[in-house]
Formats: sequence, C-alpha cells, structure tokens
Amino acid sequence: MMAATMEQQQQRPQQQDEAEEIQHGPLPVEQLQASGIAATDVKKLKDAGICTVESVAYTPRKDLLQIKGISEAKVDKIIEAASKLVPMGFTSASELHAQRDAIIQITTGSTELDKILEGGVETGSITELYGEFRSGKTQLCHTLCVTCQLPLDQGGGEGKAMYIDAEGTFRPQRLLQIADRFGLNGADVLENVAYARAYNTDHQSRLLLEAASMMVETRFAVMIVDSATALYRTDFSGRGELSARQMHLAKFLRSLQKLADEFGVAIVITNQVVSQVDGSAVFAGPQIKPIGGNIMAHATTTRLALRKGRGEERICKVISSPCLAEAEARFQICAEGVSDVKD
Amino acid sequence: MNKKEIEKWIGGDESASEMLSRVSSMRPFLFPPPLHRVPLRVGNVVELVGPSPSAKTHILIHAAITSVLPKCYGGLDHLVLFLDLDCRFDIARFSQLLIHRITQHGTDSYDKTLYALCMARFLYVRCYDSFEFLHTLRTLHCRLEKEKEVHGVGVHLLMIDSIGAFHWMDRASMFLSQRENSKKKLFLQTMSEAVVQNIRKLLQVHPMLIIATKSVVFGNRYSTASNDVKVNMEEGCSKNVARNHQNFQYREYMPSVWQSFVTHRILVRSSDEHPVTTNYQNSSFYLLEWLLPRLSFPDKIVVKDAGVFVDS
Repeated sequence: MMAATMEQQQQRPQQQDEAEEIQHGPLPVEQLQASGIAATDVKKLKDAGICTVESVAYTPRKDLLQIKGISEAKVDKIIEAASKLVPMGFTSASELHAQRDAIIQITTGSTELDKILEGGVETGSITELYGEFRSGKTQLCHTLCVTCQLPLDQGGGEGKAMYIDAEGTFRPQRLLQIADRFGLNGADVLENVAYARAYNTDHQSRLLLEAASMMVETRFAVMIVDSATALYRTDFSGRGELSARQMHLAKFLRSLQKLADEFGVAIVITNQVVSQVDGSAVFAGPQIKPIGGNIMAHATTTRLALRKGRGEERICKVISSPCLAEAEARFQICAEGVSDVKD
Repeated sequence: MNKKEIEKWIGGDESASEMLSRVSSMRPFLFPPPLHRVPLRVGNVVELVGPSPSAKTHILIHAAITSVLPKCYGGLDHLVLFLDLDCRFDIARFSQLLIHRITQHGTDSYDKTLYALCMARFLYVRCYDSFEFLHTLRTLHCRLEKEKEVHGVGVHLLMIDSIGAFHWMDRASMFLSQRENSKKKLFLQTMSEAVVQNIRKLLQVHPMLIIATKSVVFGNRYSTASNDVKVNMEEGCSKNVARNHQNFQYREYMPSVWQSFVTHRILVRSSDEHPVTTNYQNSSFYLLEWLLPRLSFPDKIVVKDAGVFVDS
C-alpha cells in the first residue's frame, strides 16, 4: 500500500498532463486545420480572440462574419468543421436500452438493502449516501470496496475499487475483516483498492484526473469519495464564499458523472448533513438535510438517506431515484461489514 | 436570396397531401394529464420548475411516450428528441412506462413490433457542458432532416432536462476568464443568449414544442413557517387550508433572455398532504400549478409504477 502510493506520487505529474489533454479540452483552434481549414484563416480566428474549437460554437455566426478576410462561405465551412470535431449523434431509446443492459449492480452485503436498490449499487451512475455521523456511511463504503471484487454471479463487479478519502476514516484492517467473510484473500483485496487521501478541494478534483488515468489501465468497478463535501465546508467558509463553493462543487460532480459514463464504474459519494434552523423547527423538531443544495441533488442519480437505529442497526431510505420507489430497509453493521439484521 | 431562389419560391407548387401534412403539424398537441390544461403547440417553450425530486422528468417521460405512440394507440405519431444535460436519464424507466402504456391497449403480452417502433422514435443526446449543448443545437438542423428521412415522421417535441444544469459551471468559467484576461470571455449571459438564439433559429425551420425542466430550491422558509402558524391558528389546524403560492417563492437564476423566451411555466412540488387511506403502493404525491398562464387551482398528481396521473 505504501509503495503503491509512493509510486503514484512519482508518476503523478506525467499522468496529470496526459489526463488533462484527454479529459478536459478545450480543443485548440489549430485542430481545424486537420479538417481542411486554411492556416491563414485559423490565424485570423485567433487574432479575433477565438482560440478554441469550442468557442466557435458559442460565437454567433454574424460575429464570425465580422472577421476581416473570412468570407461567408468560409464561415460556414469553419462552423461545419468545428461541429464535426466534437462527435455528436442521436442515440435512440433502443440503443440506449441495450447499453443499459450492460449495467450491473454491486451487492451491499445486506440482502434487504440490495432488495430496495433492486440488486445493489448501480454501475455507470452516482449514488449518494447522506446522514449524520455514525449512520453507516463509511462502513457501507468499506464493504463495497470488497464486494466489488467478487465474481458477477455473487453480486460483485469483478473489478478494483478506488477510494478517495477526505475525512481520514479509511481503515485497511476493516477490509481484511470483510474479505474473510466473503472468502477472499486479504492481501489480494488490499492490493485491489487504490487509496488516496484528499487534503483540499483542489486536490480532490485533481485526484479525479489520476483516477481517469488508472481506469484506462485496469478495470475498476467502484469509486468511493468519502466525504465528497467535507473539504468544501472547510475550504469555503461564510456566505460570501458560497458562490465560489457551488461553482467548484458543480465542476467536481460533473467530472464524476463523466467518469461513471466513460468507465462504467459505480460512483458512491457520501455527503454530510446540516440542521435546518428556522421557525419550523419549533413545531417539527430538528430536521436534517444534505448539504450542497440543488447541485448535489441534481448530480446524483440515486440519493440514499442513512440514519441510526437500535444498537448496531441502521436504516436506509431511498430519497430520490429515477427508477426506485421510495422505500426503507434495515441493515446491521458488524465486524464483517454491512449485513442483514438478525432478529 | 438571389433571383433564381425567389422565382423558385414563387413558382413552387405543393400537393394537397403535402399541405395537409405541413398544416397538421401546427395543430395543438393533445397531451394527457397533467399537461392537458392549456393547449400547447409547436413554437411554445414550456418550463417545468421544481425542486428535486418533484416528478419533472417523469412528466417528460409521460409526454414523450404520448408523442412516440402511433395515432391509433392514442399517440401523436411524432419523434421526440431528449437533451439530457443532467446526464442521469434512466432509459429503463422509459421502457417500463412505455410497456405499461402499450399493454393498456392490448393483451398482457405487449406488441414487440410496436415497442421497437416507439423506442426507435425516442432520440437521446447527452451533453456534459455548455459547449456540447451549443454544438448539439447548432447541428440539429441537418440531423433532424436525416431522422425525418429515416423514420418518415419528424421531430416535433424537444425536451431539455434541465436547462440550468450548467449554471454553476458557466459561472465558474466566467470567474476564471476574468482572471485570465482572455479576449473572448465566456459569460453566463452570452451562453444563454447563444442557446436561445440557436433554438429560435431552429424553430424557424423545424417547428417543435419545447419542454424544459429547471431545478430550483424554495426559499423564504421562515416566512413560510410564519404563514403556516397564522393560517393554522386561524383555521384551527385544518389540513385542507389552501396555501398561498407566495409561500413557495424561488430565486430565479436563469438570465432574463431565457426567462422571456419561456411561453408557459409550470410549478411542480411535493405535496404536503397524503390521502389517509392510500390504496397505492409505491406512490408519490405532488402538486402541479400553472404559473404562466396562471390557473387558479393546482392539480394533485400521483406517480405510480404505471406512470403519472392526476389524482382527483
């Protein structure tokens, strides 16, 4: 584990550059030359302040016509070339449905919890777990790191796990205990978990670039970000920085969505909660809600609320999902991770 | 426009069937509830506003299925284009609801040919940022022509889920652009202007009804609580108190160019009241209220496994 981490650190600069080129455009306007646009015309575009292929998209056609030396016919040709550089096409519902069949569910370790999730945590999308401290979020994440390595017929994902830790709560020894339960080799299980500690929000975002580089090389089934929002609370403080926080968070979550789509990985993020302190609390008692507002609510495909029950029992409720009904399930946290409640 | 084009335009003749097919696309859409209150026609821009979750995408799916179904099955015989900006549309749910609608008209074993036809008529594009969104809008003209040739029917319904998806990312881009002192700044206003402009141009050659969703967070919690207290005390805690819509104000964040582009606006939110004796399993209840044009009464809608219905 330590050696792997150091190796990652040494390779970090190069991988970042490569991932940056692949993942995050924008395409320099010189790319248009490969599509038959003359170099002199490309230079005229740059002189006019249009330096990327993407900026051709949002520049109104009449503004392009204002550039001296570029005729109407050339403008149309440039727009057409820019459009072709970004591959776009319609996907029919038939094709989309066929892609959907490739999605698998990864067992959580609890049969009852898997039931309300219709099989488990879904690959290719983002699942958010929110709740107060000691509600089972991190324990569920640890269990998923092991179950994702199981064979498909046992509810696994036959892939590795990536764990981005923003709270310092990752415990390899927990993985060993859970591995024993599922009959997996402890050393192999640990080897198949790529761990990174995030220290601030910018670092957390940069780790996604490394994640993309690693996912190109090998099969990952699960990616955990625990917690996705903890560092935002410390890096951005006060109402004055709320706007900047929301901007940064939106970019981070959109990058996660792209990872889920491109690599078919199940993204599981945990979120913290905030108490609603207002007049209604007097009558309804304290209410909690996840932080991040609209940005978090609309970035996550499935939203699950966790809360504490009796003893080691926990309760999970489906809050929001495009296809799962609102439902609740009980599960238990024990030495072997997340499992069913024994009545 | 040169002389030849003018002469061609003046001299052009159109057969009766061609004229009828052109004119029929201008008729109002006859959507089933909950979009049945106000007639909607091509060129209209409908905005579904509500927090998450409030069944906005379910309403889109419900309308899309009506569009792709053939007329003899109670449908509109159109293609639907769905622009997924939130990047989390679930095609399995669409398929599930489509099967429910098909089996309503037939036996339990659904018509697989009809199912395949409808699935092929639903066209899907996923956009990750504003650039891709604009690219899609810019290239729609040619693509829609091709789809019309392939399917024999045209796209008359364009869905955008959700229009504010890139709001915070675009604001971040604006912030960075100012810092970098680049010549061409990507402003939020410019982005929305480009979107509206491209849609306007598109509508001129491809008349479509546009339904867009927009996610909001309801504000004024404190005043809401105060109003609740007053109303409850006056009415003796009656559950059937008609709520003042002002309690559900939300902050408008889209630029005015989009707001003025919208012709119809619908507010959807969770319902605070649930029927005491509920016969449904897996049901969620919401309130749907027309803001533009304003109707005085909200619809209670229920989302079941079989779809979206108005609860009377």
